[in-house]
Order: sequence, then structure tokens, then C-alpha cells
Amino acid sequence: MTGERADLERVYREHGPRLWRALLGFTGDGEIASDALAEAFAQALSRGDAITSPADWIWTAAFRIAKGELKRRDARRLTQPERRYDLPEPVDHLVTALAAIPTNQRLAVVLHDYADIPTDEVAYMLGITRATVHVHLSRGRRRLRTLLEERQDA
Amino acid sequence: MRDELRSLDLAEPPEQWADIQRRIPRPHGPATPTPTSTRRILTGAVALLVGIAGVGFGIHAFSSGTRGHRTQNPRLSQIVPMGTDGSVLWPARTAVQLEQEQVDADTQRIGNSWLLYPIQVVQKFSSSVVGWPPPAQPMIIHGPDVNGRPTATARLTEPSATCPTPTSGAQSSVPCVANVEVIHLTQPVRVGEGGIWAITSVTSSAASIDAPPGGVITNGDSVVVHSLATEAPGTQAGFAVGNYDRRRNCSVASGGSADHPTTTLHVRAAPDSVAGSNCGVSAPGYIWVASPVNGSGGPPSSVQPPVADPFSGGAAPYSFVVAVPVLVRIPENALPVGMASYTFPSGWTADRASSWTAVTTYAPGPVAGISNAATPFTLKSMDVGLTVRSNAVSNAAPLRNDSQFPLSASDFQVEPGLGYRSDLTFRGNGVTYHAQLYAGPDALPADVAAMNQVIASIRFPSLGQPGRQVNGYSSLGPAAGYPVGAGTSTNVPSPWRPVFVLRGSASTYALVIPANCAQGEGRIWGWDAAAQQIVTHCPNGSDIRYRWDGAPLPGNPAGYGRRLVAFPVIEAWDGTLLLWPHHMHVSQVRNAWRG
Repeated sequence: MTGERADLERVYREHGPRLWRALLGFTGDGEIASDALAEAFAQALSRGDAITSPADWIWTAAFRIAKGELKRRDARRLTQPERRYDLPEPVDHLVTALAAIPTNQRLAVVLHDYADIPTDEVAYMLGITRATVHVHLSRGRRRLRTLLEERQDA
Repeated sequence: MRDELRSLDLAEPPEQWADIQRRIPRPHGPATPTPTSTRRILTGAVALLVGIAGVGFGIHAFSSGTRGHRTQNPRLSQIVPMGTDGSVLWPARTAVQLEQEQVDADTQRIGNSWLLYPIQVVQKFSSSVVGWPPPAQPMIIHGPDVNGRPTATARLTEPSATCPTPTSGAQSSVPCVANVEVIHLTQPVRVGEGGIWAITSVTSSAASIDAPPGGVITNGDSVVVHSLATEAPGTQAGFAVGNYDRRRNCSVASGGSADHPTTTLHVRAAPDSVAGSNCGVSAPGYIWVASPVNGSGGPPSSVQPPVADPFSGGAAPYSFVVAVPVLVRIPENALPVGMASYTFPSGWTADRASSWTAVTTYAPGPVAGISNAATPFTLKSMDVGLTVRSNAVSNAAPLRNDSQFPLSASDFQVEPGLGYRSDLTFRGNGVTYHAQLYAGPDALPADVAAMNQVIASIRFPSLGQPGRQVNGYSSLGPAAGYPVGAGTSTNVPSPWRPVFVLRGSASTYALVIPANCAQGEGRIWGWDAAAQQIVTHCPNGSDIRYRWDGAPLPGNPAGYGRRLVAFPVIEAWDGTLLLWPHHMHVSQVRNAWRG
């Protein structure tokens, strides 16, 4: 277990920052991003050596947890929570724009264009086909670009 | 785009390693088994190909809480818009039906042109529902109501023939005063020439209902009806929900005596998950009060309640009929946010998260696949999945009764050597299903729990209404109508003859009985409990008798010396008896009766 913990800590040090930022881009909420990341790593630790590819597993688990938390928040009809993280202005603009595009488009853009995850892996993570991922990417990029340009003009 | 997204790198993530370690669950209970090398290989492959056998998954109807009747009258302040479900009483009650009637009238495809003339609508209603002759007074067409729709009323006067006859020469202290019915109509779909007319309510001098036409009732609410017809014993009142479209499988009805001046009706439909119905979150219905001239209505049958609902078979002629349409909201049937239903081709339904995949494939028979992954038939180590495959109904008797529902994930049997996969065979509405449950070794507990809920939500439509035919079976109605250890006659729809249902010690079967005596007159068959025989008395004084196993008695008239054909009968999940139209061997009949 000690060895597995050390391995996972290495994964955390290597992937944690990028995973957290990707989760932030997806959720727009640092609290949810932190919670999903911590929960995914904790569950991976509790599984010991049953996980063959910890990094892949944690990325997928973290985004599923985050997606579930967003759904629960929507189900409770909660409005966008007040951000407790002070984000630099460019990040704030980007996160605001990302929040305005549909969930699956946002996921596809963040996972592929930011986290550099191949589209077939994104398809598995989202539970959709690769062709659908490409559709989400195309539409999401177009929408995001428009939103960012509008914000810049303003 | 990638450059813009790089600005995310400016956000500084918190240090969480300490928090992560605090979250690790403390071990409790049995330790998680160490994965075998085989399992690891399979996990690494992260694929479970479901072969032609598919993965079968369980069924079970989950029971949801029921709430008690409210004691107060509903606040019927909400009225549905005209033309929508629950706004019209007759001849249609749903928006879809009304639209279809209008289309049929426009295209003159079927003979419903009478709907274009309010007087003809009233004439049809009077003769087919109330059982009275056509109205003697002319229609009164009113101007547009507040919504711009024309309305019309017609008055029907009770014919003298329906006045109750004094029994055995006794003088009635109350003279028979003819009731007056007022029929209210409007054009629910299109206003003006060419628009169909429909009845929106029926009022009477004899009774009233404390609910406005088109009122919205919440499931469990009460409605009070008032009857002034104390001189008309046998007055009944009730409600019906659904019962307009067999495909939707929503039919709830209740009724009973309303001889008292005030009667409270509790409008209640059991949740779909419990009743096996498909009423959804709202269904049109109606409240009625009526007094059949000849007592209780409905055909004499052991499985049909003796209720005089004028719009469901009825018992015309009536002394009076009062009725209003309503819309019944059933919040118990609402799925939680983020959930969706999946329905298999044979009719069973399961609830799953909207983000999950639920598909039907054919290999060659239908196979259901439900999973948190994109492809339920190719699963990875952190996926969960359920497949259900139906078997063709076997003709080999004895058939088995349905399984008990709801099913549970614990009902599944783990396949030897494959700890992540388990199987279950179950039966629903007479059909056998094979289910396979897959829970990948890396699956999240939340996903496993969600799959357990999917399994628990599997439910079948109820076939309780006698005469319904599905999966090759014919419904005989609730088993409660057929006493154990006895025989009960009933009818099975064409092409079947009347049958005698015998509930033996081990199982149930049905004997096909001759419909007529030799003289060609239809007779009623009865059960001789002492002799354990079915018997009918013919007009010429002779009896025709058969033993419980269908063997004819030696004294039967000519033409009644052959053994009766027997068919197996099973009990469905909801207690409905289902007849399977394939012959049983006499030895199977004896085993069924004696156990």
C-alpha cells in the first residue's frame, strides 16, 4: 500500500495541477474541481493495485464525479455559486465563456483542446462515440470563440 | 483555441494531497478480494464483449411510497385549457383523440361527420350513454364564451319508462318526477363551421359534483358528490382515470353506492411503478354519478366489478347521469431530474440516469443494454452494464409463474471464475428473460449503486384487464376472482370459447367448455363443489357434466362424450391469470389439480 501511495502521489504531482485546471474549466467552480480531484484520488488509493492505469482512471473518475456534482447542483436548482477562488482575469473570462456552452461541448473542448486527451479517449470518458466528440468539438470551439470575441469587443 | 485555453494555466490549484489521504475510507467489513491474474488481464483488456447471448438483466418493480387520502376537498382552482387532456368528457378525452376526430371529420375518412352537428352529438350521447330517446327540445346555441368558443346546451327529459316500478303492489310515497339532464357542448379543436363538437359536462336536477369541468385534481384528493335522488335507490358514483387508449396502459376506475345525500370519492391511482401502468404524471379522467334503472350495471362476471360507470360499458338506461371531465395529476410518477426511462420492446421499463446509455439491439431477438458507458456491450474496467435478453415463449408445459418483483442485484448469481459478471433468469408477463450484470473491477461505487437502482426499477405493464392479449397469452383478470380448489367460468376473447378456470393444489389450468346445449341454447355452466364437476342444465332437463380433469361423465347426452381440452394458466407478477393456448396432457392436468 505504501508503494501504491507513493505511485499515486507521483501521479498527483504530475497530473494534479492540469487535472484541477481542466476541472475548473469544465465546472467553472474551484470548489467542485478540488472536491472531484480529491475524491478521485482517494478512491484510487482505496482500490490499491486493482487499477491498472491510475492516471487514466483518475482523469475519468474525476470528470464523472464533477459531472455528477454539476447535475446535483442543477437538480437542486442552485444558481452558479459565488466563486471562492480569486482567478486571474483571463481565466475568469475563459471560465465564464466556457460556462455558457453546453456541457458535452465544454467537456470535449476542455479534455481535448486543453488536456490534450485523444478524441477516442474523450469518447470513452463521455460515454459517446468519437464522431459525436468531433461534433461537440466543432460546435464547442465555434461557440467559445464567438463568446470570447464578444467579450473582447465589450 | 488551444492558446485561449492555455489561460487556464494561470489558475493556481490548491495543494490537496493531505486532503486526499484524509478521504481514504477506513477499512471495514470483509477485505476486498485481491484480483486474480485472470481478472487483471481482463481488466487490462477493459472490454467485455457480450456475445449473441447478450447480457440479461433483471427486472423489478420498485415500490414507492403511497400517501394517504386527503380528507379535504381539492382546491380545484386550476382548469385545463379547452381542447387539452381532461377538458372534454365525450366522445374523446385527450387532445390527441380530439385532433384525430377533427382530422377524420375534415377528410371524411370515417363516419364521424355527426360530430360536426351538436344536435347529433347529443342524440348519440342520449341513446348510447344515458339510454334515453333523442331530446324533444331544440338545441340552444350560445354565443362565444370568454375564450371565444361557441357553446351549446341541450335539455333531455327522463322518459317515463325509467321511473322505478313499485314492488309487490306497494305504493310509492314519492311520485316519480322526471329528471332533467342538461348537456353542455363546445367546439374544442376548431371554432366555426367544420369544427367538431364535444360534450364538456352533463348536469342534472338529481345530483351534482363538487368539481368544475376540466378541473385539475392531484392524485389522492377527494371530491364530494351530492345526490338528491333518494327515491332512486341504486345511485352510484365513481371516477375513472385513463381508460381511453389500450396502448398507454392506464386504466384506473373505482365506484360504488352513492345512495346517501353526500358521498366522498377518493381519487387515487397507484403509482405506475406499483401498478404496472403507464399513466405518467397526468392523465385525463372523469367523475360521475348515475342511477341505473335496473340496478348495478356491467355484464355478470366474476372478474368485473358491478359498477354502473356510464362511460365504460355502463348500465343504460339511467334515471340520471352527471359527469365532469378532470385532469388527474400523479406526481408520484415523475422521474427525478436527470433520470429517464427505457422501455424494452416487450413492454418492461427501467429508469436510469439520463447520461447513461440504454439501447436495444437485435441478435436476432431483442437485447437491452443499459450502461454508464457509451456502448453497453463493450465495457471497460470502470464501467457497469446490464443486458437483458428475452427468450421465445416455450410451449413445453408446465409453464412457470412470473418472478417476484422488484428484483435486486443480490438475486444475480456470480459466474464461476468471473467475479465481475453475474446472471439472473426471471419471468415477466409469461416471458423468460436472461439478464447479465457487469460491474467492472474499477467501477465507482456510485455507478454500482446507480445500477442497482436500475435493476430495482425494472417493471412490467399490468395485464389485469380481462381479455387483453400479449406475448401469446390471454388475460383472465385478477386471480382473486378465481377461488383456489374450485372452478370458475369466464370468457376468453375470440377465437376462444368460454372456459372454466380450475385452480388446483399445484397450479391453474382452463378447460374449454361447449358453449351450447344440444338444443342450441346457450347455458350457464356452474361448479358442483361436492362432486368437483362442472355442470350445465339444459332446457330438456338433462345435465352435461365433466370432471375436474375434463373427463366427461358417462350419462352425458350424445355429442358430449369427449374429454375437454385443457390449457395451462400462469399467474403473472401482479396476480393476473394468463392463459397459454397450447394443449396440456391429461397427466399434467392431474398434477396441476392434485399437486
